[in-house]
Amino acid sequence: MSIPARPLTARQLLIWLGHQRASALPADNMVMVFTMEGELDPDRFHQAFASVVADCEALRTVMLDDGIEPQQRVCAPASMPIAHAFTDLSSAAFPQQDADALRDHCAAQTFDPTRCNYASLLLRLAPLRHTWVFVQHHLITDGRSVSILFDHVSRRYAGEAPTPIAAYSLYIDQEATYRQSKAAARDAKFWAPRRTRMVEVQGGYGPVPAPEGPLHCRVERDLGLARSVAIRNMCETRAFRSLSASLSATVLFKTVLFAHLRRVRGDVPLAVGAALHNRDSRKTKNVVGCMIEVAPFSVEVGLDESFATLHKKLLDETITVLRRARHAVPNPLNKPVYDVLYNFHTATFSQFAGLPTHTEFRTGLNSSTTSAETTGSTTAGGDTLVLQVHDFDQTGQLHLTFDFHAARFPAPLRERIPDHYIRLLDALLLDPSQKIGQIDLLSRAEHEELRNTFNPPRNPDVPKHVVSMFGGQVRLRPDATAVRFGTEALTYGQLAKRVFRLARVLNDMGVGPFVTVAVALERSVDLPTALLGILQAGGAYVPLDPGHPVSRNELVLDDADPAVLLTHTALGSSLSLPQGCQRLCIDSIDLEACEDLEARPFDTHAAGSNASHLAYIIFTSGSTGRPKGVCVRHLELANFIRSMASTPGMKQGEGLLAVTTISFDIAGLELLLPLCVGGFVEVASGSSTADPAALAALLSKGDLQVLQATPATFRMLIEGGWPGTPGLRVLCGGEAFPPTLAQPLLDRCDQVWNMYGPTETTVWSSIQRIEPGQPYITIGRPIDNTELYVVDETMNLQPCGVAGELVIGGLGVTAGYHNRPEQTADRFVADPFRPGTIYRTGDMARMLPDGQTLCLGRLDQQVKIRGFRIELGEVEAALAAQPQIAEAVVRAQPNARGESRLVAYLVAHNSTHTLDQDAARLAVREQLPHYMVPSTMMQLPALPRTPNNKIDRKALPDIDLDLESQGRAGTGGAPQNDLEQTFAALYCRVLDLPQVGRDDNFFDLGGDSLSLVRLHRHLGQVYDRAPALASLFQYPTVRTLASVFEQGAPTEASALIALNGARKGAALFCICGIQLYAEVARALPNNPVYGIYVPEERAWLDAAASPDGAYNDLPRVEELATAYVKAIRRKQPQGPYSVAGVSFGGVLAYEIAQQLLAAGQEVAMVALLDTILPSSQRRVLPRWFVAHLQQIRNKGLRHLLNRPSVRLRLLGNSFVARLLRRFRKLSRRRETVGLPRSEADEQRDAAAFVAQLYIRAIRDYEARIRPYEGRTLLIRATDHPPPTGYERDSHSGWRKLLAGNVRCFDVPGDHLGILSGANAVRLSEHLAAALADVRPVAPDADEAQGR
Amino acid sequence: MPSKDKIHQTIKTYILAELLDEDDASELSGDTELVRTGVLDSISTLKVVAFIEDEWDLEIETHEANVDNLGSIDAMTQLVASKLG
Repeated sequence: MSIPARPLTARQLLIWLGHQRASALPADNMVMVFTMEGELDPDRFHQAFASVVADCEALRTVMLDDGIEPQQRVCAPASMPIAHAFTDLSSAAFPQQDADALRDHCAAQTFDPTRCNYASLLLRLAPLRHTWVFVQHHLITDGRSVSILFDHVSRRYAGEAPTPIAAYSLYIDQEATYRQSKAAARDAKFWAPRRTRMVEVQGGYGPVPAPEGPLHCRVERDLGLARSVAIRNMCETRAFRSLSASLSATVLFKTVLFAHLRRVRGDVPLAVGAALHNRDSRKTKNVVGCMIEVAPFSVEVGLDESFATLHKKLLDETITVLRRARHAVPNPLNKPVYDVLYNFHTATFSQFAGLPTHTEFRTGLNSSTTSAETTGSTTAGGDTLVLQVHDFDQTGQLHLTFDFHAARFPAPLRERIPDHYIRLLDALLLDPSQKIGQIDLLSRAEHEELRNTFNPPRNPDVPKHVVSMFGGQVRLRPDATAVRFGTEALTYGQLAKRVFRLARVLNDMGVGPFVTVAVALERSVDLPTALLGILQAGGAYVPLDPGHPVSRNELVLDDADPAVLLTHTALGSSLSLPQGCQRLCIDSIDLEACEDLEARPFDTHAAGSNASHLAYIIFTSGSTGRPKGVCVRHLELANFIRSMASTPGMKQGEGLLAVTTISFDIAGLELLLPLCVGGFVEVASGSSTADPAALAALLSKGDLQVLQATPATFRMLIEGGWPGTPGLRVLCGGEAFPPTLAQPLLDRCDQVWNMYGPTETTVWSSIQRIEPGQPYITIGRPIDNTELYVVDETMNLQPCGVAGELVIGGLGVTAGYHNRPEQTADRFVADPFRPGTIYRTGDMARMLPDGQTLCLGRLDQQVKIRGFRIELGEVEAALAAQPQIAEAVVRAQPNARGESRLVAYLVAHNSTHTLDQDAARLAVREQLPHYMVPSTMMQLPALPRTPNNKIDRKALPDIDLDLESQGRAGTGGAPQNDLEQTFAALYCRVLDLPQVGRDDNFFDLGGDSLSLVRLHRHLGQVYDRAPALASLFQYPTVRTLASVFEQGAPTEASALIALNGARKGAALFCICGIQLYAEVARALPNNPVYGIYVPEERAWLDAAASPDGAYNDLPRVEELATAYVKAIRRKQPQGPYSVAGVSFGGVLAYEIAQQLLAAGQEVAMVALLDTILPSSQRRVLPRWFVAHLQQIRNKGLRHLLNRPSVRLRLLGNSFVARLLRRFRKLSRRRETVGLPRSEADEQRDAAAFVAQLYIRAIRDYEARIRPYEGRTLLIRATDHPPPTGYERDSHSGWRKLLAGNVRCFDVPGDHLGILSGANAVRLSEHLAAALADVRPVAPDADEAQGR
Repeated sequence: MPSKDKIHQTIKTYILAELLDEDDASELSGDTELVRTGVLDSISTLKVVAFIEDEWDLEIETHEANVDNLGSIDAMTQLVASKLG
């Protein structure tokens, strides 16, 4: 008995396509591992297994792959060997290890679904211990099938005869019935909006430097008896009880899963796929085969909602989904609709033929090993997390298995994650009214680690004042160099005198504790003098950059309200000073005036200053555009300087090159650190700070050991040709450390340090030495007396690896913002972990298992586009990783409709080089989810920067987004050429859309597995060399599809386009024009109607359209007809053939029929649709074309030409486009000689040109035309009379040529009008009648097979 | 509106024909606890819901798909009757 091949079910098709895309991954291998305790007879087992295979069609099912549409076939039992083996390992040295290796080998094998889809292996580990490894491809099985098969093998082994296994064909039929049902339409409607709002993996535990081990790493937990009972009890309560005990438990675990995901991923769209067995009738209950449905569940979860309310939501969602999830309707093909899979098993396998049995449910991914190939993509290798709940062994306690995707979960954290889940579960069991955000996920050990191990205890013994640190050095080494500037230099002694003198002057002007002094100085030796002098006076400095805009400096002066502005005479007096502020020019004071150092030692207490006094106020840009001042006290400053002195470290005698403007707080390190440790500071001049050659020259002196700067400055240095400086320690901070900067810096210096810290916690709070080959650049560990924590919205500590806000505690936390109590209260909050306050940085970070902190960017740089949370930094990094792009900034900008769009600003390495934005977009598209790809890009010569050399996002130019969206027919505009137009028409047909743009993604338009197969089938009909089905994923747009065809199939590719869905009946081939015949085709539901595209036509017309009009090279009608014949016969190798053509197409059809006859083929009919031979009205010939053109013009040629769907009405749109281009050129030329041109003129010319081509070709052909003896249908358009005063014979000139059966009819309408509207229906009636008795032919070999 | 008896009979016939094994049939009465005893699992119960919706052209809301309304043929009958009445 042979069972006919059947199509795949929708679910099978999804699996099949997945297999095609990643056949190297055993993701669809379902692996059961049963370990039986007791005596087992392998021969009897083999017999039992073989008899089950004989009874089970699924195990004998193989796929047929004809390259177009896969099918499945059940092999006869005799024709298929039993894929079962027995191996005795009991005498091996390590039976269990051998068994595991064999299991993994068997589980990770790649099935060829066209040959065999299962493998079975019985292993003897010990005389009384056996393991049965049973691997099946998901195409032929599912969880319930496994239960049935286990039961059958077990019973047959025991000699019982179980109820027969039901055939999968039952389910195939059920699905076919479903497709026709009202329910299918309802379900599709339900899923349509859900399918488009699907998830990408965001947040969660991370990062993973280098995945290793199996792709899915399993961690298991037993829930224990007490907890399992508590779960069962809770499921019996009214609130948690649902339609079945298992459904209640399913929803309960799902509630915890969603709560967990919400906690670790944040406020992002969450979707979990859950399996349902789908055997909903008695008939299908015992079916073995793939019937499972995996439906996505998604709910929004708030941290302030309780488990009880979340459970209620999920119960509703579950029942809603269970009612609608059938036959893969919920699953679009190209994108994951969930990334977490959850499976609650009700099956048990507690004994095999009476033997106690332990069962493991695995997939091939648990055994496969990772490789770069499988982890490179976010979607490769299946779900990020699979959670299964089961009690396979019937122990009464539930068991959890977590399969973690190796590339998604850091190995050191995997053991902790199940415990986070269980802590949430326990909280729910304890009290479902608890809020999800309040539950502590962490163990005591994790708390200890995050609070105390990663943050060492504070050292209370800290210096109180940088002035006393400086004073100590003055006493130790008065003659050592302290400051250098150009050729000037000051020793410690000289500097101290000046500091002292300045302090006296300031004291006399009223400066003391909490009195501020603004500093606006040129870069000079005076800089350190000024800062130390102010501090020595007990005051606080407020640095201004004289180069900053006057208005900004005045805002700062207003806010800081200084008693004195300390400046240089040369800087003039452009700043208007607040009331009470006196100007003091440092160069007007005689700083050398004697101050007796010995008599007046550096004692800050003398000036009344102590550790809690203000040291400086530094102004940073505020969100409102008004700078805000951060108040830093002496304690914070002194703690910072001392910590820096030890790490990265600076010793006496070492030199530091100061390049940073003093308005940036990091300048404090450059100007003060050397003077507090006995080193010296080389102050770079204002001009050299922006001159890489000058900086390199300073560094080349060889006595400088430390350079601190922003990444931009280092990049400038490197690009300026700095060869590097041996012995130099580089401190890089102020912006995220660009990974691409690491190696170039390492190549040039001794040490490279990444410095991180907000101004609010005193310059730097965390540092990391960059080493070669680090997987990612962290901000390292806290500096002395500083703590870093990563917390969630409610200040819970986030588990290691989970993103949250970075908060900083410790002695560096400043007093807050000057005169801004509200902003201070918002950012500086009570430290929940140690005494004092902590500062909320607004930066996103992850704590790594080794205690380093990974900074992820600004919280407020997160934008939401269509609900997706996007880290702009991530997009920027992806763009900047492109080789030609030096820098990239991305921001969100609303368009006219108020929707946010991502726009990118790019700077090329070579600013004269124009970036290929399409290429950049394509490259980024491979790395980022679609919603993270900027919709618009703009190249800038350089990024705008703030005076502190940070990127000034506010200064980026706006991009006019609305220009982009004007006049679009969809993404990317209307299709551009014949191929694109053809594919667009196919998209429209398959997806039932009126039009598509060339860059519209097939799947975004609603395409799914079935429509993809339909599309592929059409392509197969249309083109000889259609790409493989699975490869269509790579070409999901009209444009990409067309480009692959153009590359893969050179010019001779011809195309047949099925214009209606008819499969049976005699085919009709329509000539010259494709969409032209669309309405006629629709009115012929019982005959397949094909439009034909032959490139020869284009070549022919191209030649004609060439500027010098090489008319004499025109291919003849016969040559063009030959091309058509080839295309037709490729589709339908044998007659009878029926061909039709309108106008010139009729002439071609006539010649095609002649050639087919000459080839010995049968021609059933040739239909000449208002085809008029020029000879029939020779004297009025030009008028005929004028009339033709008139008709076109009446219908609006411009309109026709601009609408892609009708562009082919003339000859093929590329030709028309060329003509139009040519005539535009011509018309421009005319304009230059003063002849006005209208668009109508151009169109008339273009159409006339076409007409000229027709007439020449037909005239040429008429000279050789031969009579035709076959059956002919002659259609005349009633509204196409010969022009007045001229005659046309009743057969339009054909009478003398047609020797066979000729039938002649009139159809209302004009020349082309007979093809549209009601006229097309009338015309079709004549065609249908003529085709009625034509013998249908299977159109081609592909079609004939298997149907 | 069909009588309750008629509704009851229609539902029972459907369950017997589509969902239950024959040996379970004799034990099926109006107050048999379908859900609690596991005679029907959740998928099967929802299949009955779909049947009821099509048969009497009514809609059962998600929140109504609970044990109280679907736990037995009597309960289902009551739900249908209240919707039709």
